[in-house]
Amino acid sequence: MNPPPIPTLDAAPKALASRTRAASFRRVYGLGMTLVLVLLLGKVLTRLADNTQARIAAAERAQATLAQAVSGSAGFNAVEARLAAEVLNSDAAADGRRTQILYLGNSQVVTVVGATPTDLRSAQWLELMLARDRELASGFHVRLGALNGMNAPEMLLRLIAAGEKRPREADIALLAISPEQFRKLGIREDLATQFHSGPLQRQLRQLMEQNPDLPRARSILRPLISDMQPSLASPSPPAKTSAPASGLEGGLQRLAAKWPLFAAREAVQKTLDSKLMDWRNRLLGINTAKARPIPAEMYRANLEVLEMAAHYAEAERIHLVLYMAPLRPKEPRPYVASDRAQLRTDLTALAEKHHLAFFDYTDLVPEELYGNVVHDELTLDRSVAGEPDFVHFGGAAHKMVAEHLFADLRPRMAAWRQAQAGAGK
Amino acid sequence: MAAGAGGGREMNIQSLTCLLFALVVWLLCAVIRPVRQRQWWLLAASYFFYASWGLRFLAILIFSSIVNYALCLWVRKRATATRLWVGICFNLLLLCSFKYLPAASASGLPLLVRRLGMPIGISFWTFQALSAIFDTYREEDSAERPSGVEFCLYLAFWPTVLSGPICRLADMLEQFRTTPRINWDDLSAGGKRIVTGLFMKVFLAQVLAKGLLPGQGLDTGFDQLSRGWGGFDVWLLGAGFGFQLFFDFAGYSHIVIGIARLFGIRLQENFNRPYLSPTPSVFWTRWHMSLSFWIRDYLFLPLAVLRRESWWRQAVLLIAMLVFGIWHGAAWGFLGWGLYHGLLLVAHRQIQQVRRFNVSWPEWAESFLGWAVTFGAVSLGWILFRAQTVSQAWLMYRAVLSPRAYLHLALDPNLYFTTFVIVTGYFVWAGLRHALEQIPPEVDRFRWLFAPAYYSLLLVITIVWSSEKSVFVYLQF
Repeated sequence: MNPPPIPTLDAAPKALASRTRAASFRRVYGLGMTLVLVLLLGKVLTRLADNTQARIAAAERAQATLAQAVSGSAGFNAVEARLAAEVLNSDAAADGRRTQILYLGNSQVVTVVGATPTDLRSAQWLELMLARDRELASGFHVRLGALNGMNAPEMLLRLIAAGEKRPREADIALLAISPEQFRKLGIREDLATQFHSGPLQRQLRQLMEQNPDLPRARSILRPLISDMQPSLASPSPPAKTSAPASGLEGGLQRLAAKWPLFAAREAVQKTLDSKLMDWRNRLLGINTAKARPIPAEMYRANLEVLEMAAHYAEAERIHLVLYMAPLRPKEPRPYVASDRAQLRTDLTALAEKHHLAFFDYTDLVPEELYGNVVHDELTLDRSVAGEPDFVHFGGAAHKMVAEHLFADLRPRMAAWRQAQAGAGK
Repeated sequence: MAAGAGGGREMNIQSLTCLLFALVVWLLCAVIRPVRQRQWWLLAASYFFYASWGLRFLAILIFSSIVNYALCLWVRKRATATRLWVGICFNLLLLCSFKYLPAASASGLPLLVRRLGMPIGISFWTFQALSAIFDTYREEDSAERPSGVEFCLYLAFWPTVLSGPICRLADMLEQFRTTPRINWDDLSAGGKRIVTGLFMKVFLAQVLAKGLLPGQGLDTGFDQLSRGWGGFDVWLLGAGFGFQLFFDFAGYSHIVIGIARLFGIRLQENFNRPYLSPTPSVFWTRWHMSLSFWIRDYLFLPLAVLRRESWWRQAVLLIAMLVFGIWHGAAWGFLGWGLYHGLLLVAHRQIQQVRRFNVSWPEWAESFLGWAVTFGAVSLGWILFRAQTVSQAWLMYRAVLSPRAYLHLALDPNLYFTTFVIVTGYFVWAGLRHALEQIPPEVDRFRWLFAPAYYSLLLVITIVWSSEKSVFVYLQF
């Protein structure tokens, strides 16, 4: 075996120079590669979000043209087309001369599966039916205030916000209730922030103080009222700061927004959230028919919130109407039979206690009027695409719901309108 | 990134304004070489930073700095117990006036104190001032007497003034007096710490607290449900909140330590993988280390040597942990949390005594059991820390103890999912890191090749989630 070579006198400086070069290379590589990867990853994510945004924008455009297309279709005149379009304009100021009907619910109320130009939502149909009625014509206006995934606390807040507007936006409130709403408690930020100060907060605080026997409802609403916060809770539901910030921070954010990833971060976040849900569904084998039991405490809390809404409506002389939203009759259903029965019993009791109108439409819509989950703007989650949709239905079903609502409410409508006029509104 | 928590003018540590501020201060520090001028510049920058949270707070900080400096000089002249107690009383009075009295009796307070509000970070910089007085009394820093500017800078140093780590005068003084050469190692290490901290704070802590969608975070479980938790729910909320707090505060500490490192200043570490601790005693050497070591050095040890009896040691442990709890605020929950941990430490000592006479377990079983019991006990303790009221904590503990409560779940399914993924992910990451550390350096020569992928991923996720307004729990202490 040969002995190791004896280092020459100039070997040490050479080795040192080599090590220095290697260290310099690593530094340049580390910083440079990090920047390159951040830019690349940012580009990929921005493109992913852009695609999603483009799909959503296309769907929104399609919805916007739907109302316009209605006027050219058989069965509707120009006035009816305008009325149907107005139902969707939730920001329009209320006409004090007409009785305002606020229609709340979750995505079932908002979505028309496989919509064609003549398909309207149940809220729009109700508006047209009221307009076509000789006795009731032009005395009512329906406003769609529903949101995807709207739960009871959000319904209450939307009701208070509408009830406190002048002229008020809710003389009658129509609440479409489904079991899914009882599995959630969160309140989205744009609704919550309206209650952080001003008259709405005062009204909410007053309502909470007047209902000490509804502790669960009070707990849900307490974080909205800033000076009643627990010490470690967040000051408010997370507020997006992408809205123009003031001063230096705002200027810096606008500057940073020149970078597409920074500008599109909210859209990217939503896309990643839905991807995560997609993976969750695949991982845990979740499909649309998978049983969705309602946690008992969440159920009671949501029920208390509905009771608080009844108290508010009573105090403000708003006529509250509850109906159990239709559910697909296909078995197995995702909502447990005992949960549905309990909900029916409790809503009946609530309606009796507060003299509310209550209708059970659970089995109203036949199987064939429901569709399957399509992969569109509402279902970013690909894992359930093509499966039976247990909640959303097509235009014919929306019309059917509106017809039943109209038939059930019509006898009361004239009386309510008269009472409204008598009270001087 | 995210804006400030209040009106928007204050410089939140993860705001773009703060980033710009750090850049300007750093550039000028690089240019200003003379030590004295550099100190003045850093002090001016620190006061500017603190004033962004309120000029009145700055006035209180300057007042405290001047009085504490004078107290240090006074104690140094003749180190008597009376002078030491004057120093202690001044600082406790200041802390109580702004932190504890408002909570105890809102109506009976002087109008001035009520109007001023609690200066941000008062608990942190008051404890720094106290440690300076203690060290001066013990003549531990006799070789390094601070000038007025140095002392003021020690209390107001901008990365640490809001929420620590709680520094020691001797450590900081040495570094304030040198003009470090800007070197790549500091910049690289500082940058990595900042990116890691931002990821922990902006992404992990926020997702745990708020969830991916409204109503799916830990905040809902604690604040919106008022009763009816199942046994598993409480365990999940306790462990989840512990991790939320860890990611939030350890993330913040990473950012602060990273920023200071950019200036060539090395701060004390605040966290060292606390959730891998095999015993409660070890946990308290790894969680909020700067405060826990402060309490050890200036409260526990001085009290512990007063008597030799074993019961006294246990009593001092309890006292030390009670102070730890109360440091967070005047609330029964914090007091209960401190007492709980005091009892846990006492129990651990007793078990150690008993075990001396018993047969030893296999090492792996002992390690795992120790870790599991510690993790479980610490997680349950967070309930007291986080619950809105003691009665809420009681209801939650009842659920843990009731077998029937394990038959139902009360929270949103996505909360279980996200908490499980993040907590499990942390342990997997910790395990991987531990495994990587075992690889000898001659084999692990190519890790640097993969580092950019790791840090770029953290950075991009942080940027994506930075539109959420971040809430820093420890800012209120």
